[in-house]
Amino acid sequence: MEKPTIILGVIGSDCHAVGNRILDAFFSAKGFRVVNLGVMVSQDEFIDGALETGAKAILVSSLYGQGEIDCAGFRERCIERGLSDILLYVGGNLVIGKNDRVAVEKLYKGFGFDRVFGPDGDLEEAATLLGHDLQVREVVHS
Amino acid sequence: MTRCVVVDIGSTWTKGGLFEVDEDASSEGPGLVNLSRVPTTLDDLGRGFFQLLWQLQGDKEFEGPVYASSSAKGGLRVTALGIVPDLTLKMARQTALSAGARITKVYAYELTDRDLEQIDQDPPDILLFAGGTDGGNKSILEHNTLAIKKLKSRPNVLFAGNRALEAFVAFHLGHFPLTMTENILPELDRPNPEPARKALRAIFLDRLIQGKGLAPVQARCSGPILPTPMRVFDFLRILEEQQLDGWQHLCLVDLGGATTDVYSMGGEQPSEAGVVLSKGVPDEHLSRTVEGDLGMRHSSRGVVDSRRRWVEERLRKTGNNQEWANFEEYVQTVEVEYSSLPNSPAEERYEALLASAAVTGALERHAGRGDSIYTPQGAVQIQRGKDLRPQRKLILSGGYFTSDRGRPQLDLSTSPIDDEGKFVLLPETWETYTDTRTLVPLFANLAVSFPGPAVWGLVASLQKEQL
Repeated sequence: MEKPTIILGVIGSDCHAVGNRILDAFFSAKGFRVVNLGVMVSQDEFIDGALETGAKAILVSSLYGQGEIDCAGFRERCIERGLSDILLYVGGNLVIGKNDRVAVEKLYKGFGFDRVFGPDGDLEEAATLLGHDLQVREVVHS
Repeated sequence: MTRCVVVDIGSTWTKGGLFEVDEDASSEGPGLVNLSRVPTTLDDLGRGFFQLLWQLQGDKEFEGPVYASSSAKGGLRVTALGIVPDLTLKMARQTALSAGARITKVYAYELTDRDLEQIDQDPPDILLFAGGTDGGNKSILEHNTLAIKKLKSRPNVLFAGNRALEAFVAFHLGHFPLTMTENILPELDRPNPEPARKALRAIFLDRLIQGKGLAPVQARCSGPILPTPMRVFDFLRILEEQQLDGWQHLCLVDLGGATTDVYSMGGEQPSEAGVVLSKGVPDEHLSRTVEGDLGMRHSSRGVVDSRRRWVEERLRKTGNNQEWANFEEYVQTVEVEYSSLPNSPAEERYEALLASAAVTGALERHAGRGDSIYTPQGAVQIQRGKDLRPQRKLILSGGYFTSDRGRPQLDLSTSPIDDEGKFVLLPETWETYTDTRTLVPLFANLAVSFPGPAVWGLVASLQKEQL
């Protein structure tokens, strides 16, 4: 089977590069074709990358506490640009100060993300969920 | 010693030079024996060409080796297709321009029926069909393949998109003269323009020369005829390979009646530490842009439209409120009367202003932009496009700079900041050289067989300007 393509990057003006490299190595090892856009990626750059590579999922990282500003309206923008069905994952230090996980998850799901991971999110679990979600999309589409 | 003739067939003039080259002299320019031109004979390009061969030798037709390039009959007209404007479409544009093309139209995302009508109304020589990384987007490419299939015209189609679509494209577009080549953007951060560039060149040679009436010229030439801008592009590569001290980084502006071309060498990487390159397709080391709305005659109106503020700032210094109206009137005249030349000191001044505005406008558009983004870690400098600040050397070519018109009174000052508040990455002052006999296209042709002498010849022929 063809490896599913996923887009990886750190959104906004955030230049935390270490976690991004770890995610790249990890998801590549898990059998995904990773297109890593690196740090300081805008919403449109994520979408541009997905459009050209035919990616099935976009994995957004945000570590610097301003993710709320950067991620607002992400799904709308995807819909506008022809990617209404793409899987959107987000993870990292998504807010400052608030520790209510449920509230954070609700906030980001409101932006159109399918899965939301906090700072203690488990990578193995994320990879399993991603594989599962991609399969479900495949079945729905065929 | 070898004698050879080089010819540049332009849309107005067919120009040629008879050179004497000493192949053994490693750092010497060629001897220019004769320089001549005839009006381009558009009904039969060969007639003017052979007349020129006769004129250059004087008493009989020249019989030695001949090299030629042509931009007559529209040059190489390309329409480019991509998906995302900043990714595959930008790449398609860059590739076509580096192949010396004149880009007629560009289209992003899905082609519409209206787009198809537009293409049919003015069919290009080549449709450069790109989009998708390898293994990437298929749906938009499938849509566009089926759209192209419906075209009534039959331009050459060059497919340089997602490799996975090759069979699909070949199956549906078999009734077009179709060429397949490698993807121009196989991965997002790995541009691959060279195979498509070669394919564009091959299509021009194999399928377009005949239609453009260049077959008799090609039969007489010792090397392939190429579009003139492609030959100039290749020449700048050769110039760089020769590693002449101080000539590795430069900009060349070719100011014409209808367009202003800018070529630049280098600047694709930041010139200062700590500057981050913006995302998207990296710029090529050697690149070319064409401004179709900046020129000395057909496109002089565009200079009035897009360079008004720059021109007005210069005119204000004269203290005469009527100057702008007079300048506009002059531009309106030359826009229609292609061959008119200035014949008063005031008109000389307007002509110089027109040239300066076109050159600086084209340079400003060619250059990249610098911008500060504030992050929790402090300000970060972002570079978009090319940083030409270390470039300094500027070669100006085109009819306006020929010496029989007197020394140009140029003002090459550019705006440090653009309309969006971003820094324009151009040097404050240039070391300016003019090509006073329009020899650049001739040396570019000579370089096909004599790279060293052509480069030395160019450098020796340029006139340094004190501006």
